Amino acid sequence: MTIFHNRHPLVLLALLLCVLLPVMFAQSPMLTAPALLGAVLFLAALGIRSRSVSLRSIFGYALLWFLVTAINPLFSTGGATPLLFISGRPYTKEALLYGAHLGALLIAVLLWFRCERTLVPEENRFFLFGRLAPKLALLISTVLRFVPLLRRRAVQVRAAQTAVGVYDDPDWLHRTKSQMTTMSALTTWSLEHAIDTGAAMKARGYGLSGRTTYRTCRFGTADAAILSIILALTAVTVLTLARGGLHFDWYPYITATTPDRLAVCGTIAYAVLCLIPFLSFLKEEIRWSFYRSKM
Amino acid sequence: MNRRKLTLVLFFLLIPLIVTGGALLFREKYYAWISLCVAVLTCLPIWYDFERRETGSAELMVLSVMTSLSVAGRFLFAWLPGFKPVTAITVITAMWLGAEPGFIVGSLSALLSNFYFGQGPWTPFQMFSWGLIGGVAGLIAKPLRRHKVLLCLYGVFAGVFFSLIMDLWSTFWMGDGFSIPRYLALAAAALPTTIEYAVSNVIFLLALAGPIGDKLERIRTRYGLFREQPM
Repeated sequence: MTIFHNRHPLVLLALLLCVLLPVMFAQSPMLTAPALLGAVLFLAALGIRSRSVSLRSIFGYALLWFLVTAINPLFSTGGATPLLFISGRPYTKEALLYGAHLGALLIAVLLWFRCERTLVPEENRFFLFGRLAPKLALLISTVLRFVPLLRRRAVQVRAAQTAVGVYDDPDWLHRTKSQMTTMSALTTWSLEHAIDTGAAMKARGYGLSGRTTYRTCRFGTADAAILSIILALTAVTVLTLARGGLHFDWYPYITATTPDRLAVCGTIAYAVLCLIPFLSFLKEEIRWSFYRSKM
Repeated sequence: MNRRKLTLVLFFLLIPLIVTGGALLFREKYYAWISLCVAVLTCLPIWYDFERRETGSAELMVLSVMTSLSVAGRFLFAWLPGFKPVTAITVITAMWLGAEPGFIVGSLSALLSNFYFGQGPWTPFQMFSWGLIGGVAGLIAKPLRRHKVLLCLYGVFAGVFFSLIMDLWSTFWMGDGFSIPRYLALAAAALPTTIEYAVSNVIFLLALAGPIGDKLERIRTRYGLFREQPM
């Protein structure tokens, strides 16, 4: 549980965009480091509490980082400090460091998408979308319901086909052919069902005015407060970026503009923004242990 | 506000704002930023039009089933790596139901299959590519239905187009600016996948266009659905 479970979904969307857009496109380690830190701290805290830290996924991310770091200098020869030559092309220090940064950035973005998944309950996500684009939201939620249904039906169709003698050949050509038959049968069944569902929806008044949603979220004062904090922090970061305060040159030499007061403010504002999920998690944990000790 | 007005607003207000804003804020990743915005902004007017238009509940459910089929098909053929029926289902939908349904099914298939296979910054590009593949197939639906050879060629084209767009995004995002050697290297590295896409598209289209097309044709005439889509 974090603050976002009871907050308006708009707040979380704003947080996600305000974290991701600057870091994805600014190419500055002063933004990448806090973004990575914020996501790692939050996910690690969640993993430790639920005792489900997946070593495999940590290994996967490490491998991804290593690959991106090692491969980048092969494509990019922009740096000025060659470390070695591979068939006449320089393998430069700057390109290697840029690759390391790129790998870290890639992992940070992937982890933030994971954070988003744990932060919002599904129905909140559809609430926001349902107001803006009711038809697309309806399509999305029905597809999410149909996919498991179709997979179950596919198993039934296969069973029926096996019963009439279409066996699962180890030969891939036969297997593909029989799977195509399954797809075809599945289509007939599901389209027929779709027409029925459509008729049922119409009978129950789909498309009439005055529709209500399962989950009602009201944009309250707390939402406004958090949203304005997010926007204010982002404004500082964007101002810093616009003034070139976080400018970072990778090629030919790694040069950063010496951070002035504005750049420091921008980095700190961005870091606070990235730590919001972790801080809200900590707050809930402290509150929980505080309540428990009194019992 | 109709689509023409929305398009005008996008062209004269939003696009210059994005271009100048991106140039000011993100100097090196300018291309990546622009391409992301283009991918998102292309989808907006079409979705907006779809939202505005009167769509019957049965038509919505048919679109939903077609999208689910392309997502569930990815699971059904999971034992053959790279074999995805998404493009085929999108093209078949577009051939029998029209360009707009094709775009909707293509773009939503990308969004929804990524709920299962992982969301990321590539999602808008997949939505854009698959949506466009569906939309274009809808525009040339008649010849596609008539000539098998043309359908196969379109399957190959769709596979190559999809792969090249994804490589373009990787180039923009990984590099500083656009570098042709990097793009070529990425495209070459992705060549086996590209071939796999193209071949599987052709196989799926040849195997499924007939049976699924007949069924779509049947519900179209029997229940009078998608009447306003030009055929």
